[in-house]
Amino acid sequence: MFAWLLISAGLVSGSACAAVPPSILDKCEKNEPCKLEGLLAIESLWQASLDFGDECVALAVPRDFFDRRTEFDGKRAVVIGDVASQPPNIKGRFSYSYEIDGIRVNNNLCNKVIIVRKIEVTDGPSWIAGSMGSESLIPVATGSP
Amino acid sequence: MPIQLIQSAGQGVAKLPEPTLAVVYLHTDALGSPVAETDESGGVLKRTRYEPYGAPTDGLYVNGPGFTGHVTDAATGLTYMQQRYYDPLAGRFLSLDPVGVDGGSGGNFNRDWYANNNPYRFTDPDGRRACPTGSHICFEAPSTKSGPKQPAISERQEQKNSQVAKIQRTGRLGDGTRITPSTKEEQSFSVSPSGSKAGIDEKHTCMRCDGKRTHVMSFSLPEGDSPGHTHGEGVEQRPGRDDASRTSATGQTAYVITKTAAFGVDSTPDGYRVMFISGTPPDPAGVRAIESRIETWNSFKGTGGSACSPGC
Repeated sequence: MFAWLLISAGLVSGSACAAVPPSILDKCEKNEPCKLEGLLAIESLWQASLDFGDECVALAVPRDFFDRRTEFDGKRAVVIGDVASQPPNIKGRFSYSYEIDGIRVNNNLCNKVIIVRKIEVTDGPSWIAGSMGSESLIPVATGSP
Repeated sequence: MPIQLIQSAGQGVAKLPEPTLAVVYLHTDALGSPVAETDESGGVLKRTRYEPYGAPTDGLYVNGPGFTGHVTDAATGLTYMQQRYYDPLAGRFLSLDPVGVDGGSGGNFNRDWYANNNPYRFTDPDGRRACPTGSHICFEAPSTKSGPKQPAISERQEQKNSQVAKIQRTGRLGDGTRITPSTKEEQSFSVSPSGSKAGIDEKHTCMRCDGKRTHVMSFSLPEGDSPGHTHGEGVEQRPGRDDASRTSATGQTAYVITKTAAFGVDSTPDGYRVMFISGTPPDPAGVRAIESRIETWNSFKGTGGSACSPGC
């Protein structure tokens, strides 16, 4: 009986783990700047994401970044910013966007969002958020595919 | 008869009769074939009937829109189906399907047949893909191309597709709101089988996610209605990354109207599919981009939102 309980517990915990696959974003601490590398995908004049193959993170970037979208779209880049969870769907209603720090983000792009401080294309242009301080002040966790 | 003055360098040089213009309305059947022409007062000017594989029963081929809405060449009797010419007498395309044989299921093995040899159930709107019961092009991810396994487009879906085609064609919703995909701002609307409307009860809800103040914009949809929105300036002129989630969140076909076309995104047991509904069909590069996009949708298993609490 005891052995059966152990097996059952193992199965339950195993299936619980299976429900939440490990994520590149697990390396990022809550409310701490995080450094991520991936492919930039700019969907529209307000929607962008960083792709890591089978995972992605939505980018919270202000409108002025999108004025330069052609310099960044489809490029491999390093993004530095604060990773946060996205709001859930509200029961009985349908949601496609939200504002975080006053920036509009599509909540159906990826599972999480990064409030961007800096975007740096490998051997290419970079974009720095208006409020960002010196790069050297940012301690970063790193994640890449 | 009214006359028109032709002028050259400011001087009148000739007077010619002004051509009289008459508006003719084309009416199509479920496959998209024009079966009747009427005048402005609704009087029937002409009726056309087709054999199952598309040859007109009276044997008269006329230049212009013909079987399944594709252009007929009267001189040869062939139908131009975007990617290939089709011979309605033989029920065969004149060249092989550019979509290859499905190595897994053996689907599409006969690469010159028309609509899976089942012209009542399927159409082949651009010579590449049979769209079960409906007059649209269907796209799937390369890994899920299933042809006949695709679920048919339901009557309700078809009615909503017609509403969306009307919006794309007229630039107006059923409630009179003007739809302008050429602008930067996205416009949202809802579509029912009998109409479409804007202003879908948008609400802002404040919550904290990982301690950050977040304002969620949401709207409600009447049961069974579909969400729709525009892709305007600076946006991909096809369904984007987020559009599949509109389908999964509502359980309904989600519509996208771009500057040149209208699309529907729906979910099938094999994965997502995109229907081209009206306007200018995507070119081969656009088709590849759509198919690749669907592959992304099928692999995305997003959830999120667990670290949020209501209120600010």
